Amino acid sequence: MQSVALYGRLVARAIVAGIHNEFQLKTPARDQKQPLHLVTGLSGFSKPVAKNSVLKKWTFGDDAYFIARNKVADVIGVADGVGGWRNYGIDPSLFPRQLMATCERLVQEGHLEPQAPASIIAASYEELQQQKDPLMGSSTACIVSLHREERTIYTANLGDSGFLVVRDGEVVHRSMEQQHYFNTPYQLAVAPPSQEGPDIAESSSFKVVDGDVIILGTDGLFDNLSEDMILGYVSSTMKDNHEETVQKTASSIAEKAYQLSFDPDYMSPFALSAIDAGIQLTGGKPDDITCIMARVTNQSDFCL
Amino acid sequence: MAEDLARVVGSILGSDSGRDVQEDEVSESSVIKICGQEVTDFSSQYGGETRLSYSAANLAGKTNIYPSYGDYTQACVFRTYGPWWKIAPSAPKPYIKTPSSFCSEDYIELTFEEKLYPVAVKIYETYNPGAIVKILATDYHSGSSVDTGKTRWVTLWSSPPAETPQRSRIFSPPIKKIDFPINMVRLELCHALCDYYTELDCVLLCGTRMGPESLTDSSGDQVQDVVSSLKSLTVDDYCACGDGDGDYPRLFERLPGEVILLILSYFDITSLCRLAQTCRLLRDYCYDHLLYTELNLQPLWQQASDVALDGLSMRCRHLQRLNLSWCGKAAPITNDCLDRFLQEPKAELTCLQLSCCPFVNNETLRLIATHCPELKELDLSSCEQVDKVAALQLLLLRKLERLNLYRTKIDIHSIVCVIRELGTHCRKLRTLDMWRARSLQDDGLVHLANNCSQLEELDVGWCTELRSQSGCFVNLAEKCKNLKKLFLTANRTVCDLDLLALAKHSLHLQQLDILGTREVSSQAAERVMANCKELVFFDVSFCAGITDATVEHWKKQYPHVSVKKSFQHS
Repeated sequence: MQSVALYGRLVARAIVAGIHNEFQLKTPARDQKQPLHLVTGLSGFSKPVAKNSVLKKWTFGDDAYFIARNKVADVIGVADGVGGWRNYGIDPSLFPRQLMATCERLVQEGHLEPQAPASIIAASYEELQQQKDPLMGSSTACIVSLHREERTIYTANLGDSGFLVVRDGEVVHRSMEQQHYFNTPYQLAVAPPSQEGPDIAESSSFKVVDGDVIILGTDGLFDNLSEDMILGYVSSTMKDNHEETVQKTASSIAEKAYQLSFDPDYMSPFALSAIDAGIQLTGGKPDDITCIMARVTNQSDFCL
Repeated sequence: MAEDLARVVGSILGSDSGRDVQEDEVSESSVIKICGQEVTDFSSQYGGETRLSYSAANLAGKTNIYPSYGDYTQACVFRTYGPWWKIAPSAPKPYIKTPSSFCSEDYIELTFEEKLYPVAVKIYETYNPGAIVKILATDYHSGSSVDTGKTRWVTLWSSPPAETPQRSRIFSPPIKKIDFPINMVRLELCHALCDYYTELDCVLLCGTRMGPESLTDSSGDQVQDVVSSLKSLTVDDYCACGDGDGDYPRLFERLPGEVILLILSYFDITSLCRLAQTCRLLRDYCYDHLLYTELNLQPLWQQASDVALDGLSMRCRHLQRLNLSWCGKAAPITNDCLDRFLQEPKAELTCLQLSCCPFVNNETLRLIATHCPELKELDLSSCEQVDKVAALQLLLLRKLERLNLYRTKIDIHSIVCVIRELGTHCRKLRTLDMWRARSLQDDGLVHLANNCSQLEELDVGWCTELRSQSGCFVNLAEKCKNLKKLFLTANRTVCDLDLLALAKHSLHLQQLDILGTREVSSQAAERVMANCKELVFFDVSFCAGITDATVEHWKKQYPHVSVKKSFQHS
């Protein structure tokens, strides 16, 4: 008898939920057609320095990022400089910083199709070669562009930085990591010109709705925090669409990743994939960490 | 309340026009500042045609660099600076009778989204300031006369170039008050005194929406003054030349014709035209063909038109050099008029300059090829309608010695065809400018060096396919011993071997540019300066192997060499 009652309750609950969902679907059309935009928060740590102090604009150590808006789109991007250049006396943060700064400029001046962020990377790469000062170095690049009217994000990823799109506590879209082999991501370089041109960036597009959360980060973030942990932070901290909330979430995620990176016993995602590749490793991965959190919000809901 | 909300929303969504409201926006006479919307025309730019870095388009928009001082990619930079191009082997001879007040070398035109009565024009100069010599303005929507098609350009300010302290500044000279609102500004520059490239960040136009009150009040008085002074004039019968009346001493007539012509040879075109209106005798002398062997209409670009050309054409029977650069912008010039004009010189024309002429197209080239078979020099730079069809016409000009196709749409393949066809003359090629020719390969350079041993000037800056490892630069030094100017700008592979080859073979070298290579050491560079005794220009900007201290030392040790080391202060 009890099970029937339980069953009945379950069914009733399901029906109610169903009706509720239906009701939600039937909300007035005006909400469906509104343009969306991103409320962003940003946090990160650079490897050599103890605590994040923004030493230079747009960088955390050898990571660089940008956030830009133009008439049509909101665009965010990260680039992770390859540290190996340090052995040759080249500052690895120069290339990613220039790449991101040029992307920001291209977006702000409205020169490019927001639906093709791979073209933003390509154009930025071409512009870097136009500089008088010879630039050396290489980096990954990952850009997410929200076309406000279309309510769609367009993404391009080259290398092992990446993004997640979280909706209702689940990851509904993510980037594909591009690596040659373990710990050697695809990368863009100017001098010498890399075998990987910007056209190998992987592109995708995805329709988003109000409430979606995009987490864009370098491998320092995703190698130290598993997706579940990130989801946990998002659902517990991201209660509304205020900028302070988004910022707080970004900071707490980056902080946690930073702490865990120095934990020698923690089985980080990095350690797990090392083991898959046949290398016995435990612990986190000390690295530059960059995390951009963006909440997709109806434009009219924008709070001052 | 509504304005407040609008302003808040505007600032949140990001104002694209970059407007800065000075005071309460409601008042129409308050001064507002707006930055440039779009660069519509320019004579040259350092950056590539499809790129943002160092390109003329950077002049539009809000400030990106100021107050920093240095060589930044976000700046608007022109192609040349200083005296260097004028002393290179390829420099064209200056025109006689060019008024000394005309010194403009480059121009750039910038539109604004709103029409304002200008109060000030603020130009942000962020590297080697002091090149701006003239500011003009117009209303590009309705500034053209419907009848004559002439655009009314008014000069707001002009002054000869002056040495300026080397730091960033906002240049805002006193400008003339005018009685109509403008939405387009033209800057003319002369960078002869600049130590390195002059670079501009942005331009702010400060003005009011309504004309200044003072102007409308005093203009009535001014009209009254003019009318009363006109009324007081009497026609003076005294005429120095006389017209056959015996009472007056006909002094001018007594001078031999050669003396009169000698006096007139010092006059520029404007003065000659005015003098010709005084009396018949002087008109006959002023129309003498020998005064019009060279005609430079570039300083008069605002007046050059079909009507002007038709009027001048009968004087131009012995015209050898014609400069119509920049003409055709303020008043229309048509191919028909040019057809009539070019028939006059009867094939004596040897030099024709049509730089930045908007009317020049493939048809124009057909006319040129038909009427001017003796042409030795042709400048078609920045004529954007000229494409590879025109290249076919160029093949008919068998006597060509100097050809400038900068920023035309003729592709590299057509140029190669043209050079190959004029094959017999190719071996005597003296100067070649292949700046930013991205398809130029090592074997092309080798072929050029092997065949054109008389080469004196070669510019292969930003030709990114050339690699020092192929030996093409060493080969160039060995084969072209007459080399006077060599620009290897931004070729990242130039190394010590190349410099040592130049030091050994290129003893006549006067100008050398190796900007942006990491592979060069200061010892090799110093060897070039020691051996090439005629060297006067050496650009080692952004060469990591050569420090500022070394450059300072060189400036003392080799004072005849102008060593350039550009920089960015980040």
